[in-house]
Amino acid sequence: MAKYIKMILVLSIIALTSGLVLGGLNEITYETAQNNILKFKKIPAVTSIYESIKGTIPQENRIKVESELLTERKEVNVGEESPLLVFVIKKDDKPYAVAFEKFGGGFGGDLGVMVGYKLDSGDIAAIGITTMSETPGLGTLVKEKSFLSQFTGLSKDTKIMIKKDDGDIDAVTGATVSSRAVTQAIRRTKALYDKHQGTIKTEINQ
Amino acid sequence: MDEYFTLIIGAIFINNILLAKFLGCCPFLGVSKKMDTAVGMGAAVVFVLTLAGIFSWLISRYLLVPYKIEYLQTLAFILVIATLVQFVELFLRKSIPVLYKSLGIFLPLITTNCAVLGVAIINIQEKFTLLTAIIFSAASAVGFGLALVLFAGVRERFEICHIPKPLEGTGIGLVTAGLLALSFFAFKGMV
Amino acid sequence: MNNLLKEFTKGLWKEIPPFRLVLGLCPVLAVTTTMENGLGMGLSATFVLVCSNVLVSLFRNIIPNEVRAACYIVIIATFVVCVEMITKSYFFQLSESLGLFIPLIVVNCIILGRAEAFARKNTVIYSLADGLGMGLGFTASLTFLGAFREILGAGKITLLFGDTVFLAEPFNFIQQAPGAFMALGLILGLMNLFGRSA
Repeated sequence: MAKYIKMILVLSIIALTSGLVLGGLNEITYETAQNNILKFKKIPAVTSIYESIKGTIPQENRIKVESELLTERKEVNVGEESPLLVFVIKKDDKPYAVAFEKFGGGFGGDLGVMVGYKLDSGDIAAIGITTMSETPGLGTLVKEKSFLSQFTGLSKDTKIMIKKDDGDIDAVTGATVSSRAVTQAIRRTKALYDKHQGTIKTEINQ
Repeated sequence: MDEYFTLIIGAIFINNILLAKFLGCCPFLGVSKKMDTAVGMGAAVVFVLTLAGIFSWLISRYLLVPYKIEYLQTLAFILVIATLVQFVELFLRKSIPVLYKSLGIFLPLITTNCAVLGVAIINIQEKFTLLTAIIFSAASAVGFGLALVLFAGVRERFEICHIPKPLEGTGIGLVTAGLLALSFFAFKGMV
Repeated sequence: MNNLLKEFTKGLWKEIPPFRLVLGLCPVLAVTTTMENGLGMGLSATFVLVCSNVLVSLFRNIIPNEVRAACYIVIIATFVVCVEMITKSYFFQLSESLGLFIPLIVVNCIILGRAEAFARKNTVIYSLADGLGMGLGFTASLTFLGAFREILGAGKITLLFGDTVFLAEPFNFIQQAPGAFMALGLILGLMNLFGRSA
């Protein structure tokens, strides 16, 4: 009997200590880890949208712009599982465009697209790719300016599908799936924006 | 239906868990010397991996996420796998003792098989639904078994051919595995 | 002192994982696409190995035999999760490149193997030496293999401080899956060749 008690006791104490240690470490590192995801995975795309609107940012101002975008972000409740992360791009100190991210089904998994919408017109300001696992040299070309620039200032009445599917978007040659994924992601942002722009606008004016 | 088919073909051939993703190498080199042990191990892995995939998915969905303890994923999953293997051992010993005997030491070894933990984590990373996770786990395990059996077939031939001394044993095993992986590489263009 | 040194150095050549001590193969093949990845993985695994060896040795007389596997697993997994959290916070790029293989350290046969074969039968200081030696040997192997595959595969090595170009025409195959197996096998063969004549 004593043998079994010892087994259970030792195992439980070890498990408990482990849980406490990990819980504590999580408390300390959670913030930094989350910020890393934002810093490395989402902000670069927002920065490229910013650049499409305002022109190239000189190197010395880059960090300032990025930290501004980071601190100006808002979490808006749009009825999804988790609140939507919305980045605010300012012009002359007033909110000019909002950017948020949606995913499309790419060749090697989810393809993330950050889309910026002009607050006044509802047109697309610009887009940026966040994460993707596409074929190097083919699908990855959707990250190039040659593909992305067609979305800068795109009117909201454009048919956001590739020309092959009867839309107005030029796909990357040989990367139909990846190009489609980008348009799919953009359409998802559009649906969300059309539905919730009131809520988003209220959030950021507060 | 189409996407499940693609998933299965992908998991078995194109992204073969062992030859393309490198998960499950340790037993690969240790167990594949004879055909019957390879087949036995393959079957055991299919069984355990699929079950592990299901249970770890459920634990993630109903325990880790609701209580916001996703960071405990690795710990929780490995415990699930270890416990599962224990139970499978006990179950086989009671109900199919012949199978238990033939698998011998390989059954507990499945606990440390990177493929099992790896697939469990991939199921969560790729945000699969339960059904997709089950199919992916089973298909991956079949891919593992396939690679194992093919490898054992080749390795049995080594007994009767001349191998340079430095390469004997593990060395030639690895080079052969490389050639096998190369042949599976050809599947990349399939989908 | 001599004995201690012996336990430390055996992991650096005579029983170097994964070449001589054929354990922990999975990360070796997957992670050694670049030298930096190999180094990062090696150091992470060494950290877990040393910590786990020390704790297992510390508790060797307390942990009952019947539950030792479960206890070891919990101890090892705890340190692995620590590594996961620390890399995600302070070494983000590394955690992205190593990806799945950081949590897979928990099933790295080397760590469980050393706990079972050495740490539970030896004192703390010896277990520390053993863990450190094996860990550093493993790191050296990973870094070397990573450098080998990166130089041949991409024609250059990217260190923390800039690129160095070696080859003009990269032999890309080596950085892919089949190349990993072959590179490891051939290096093992070479090691055996020189090991015997030495």
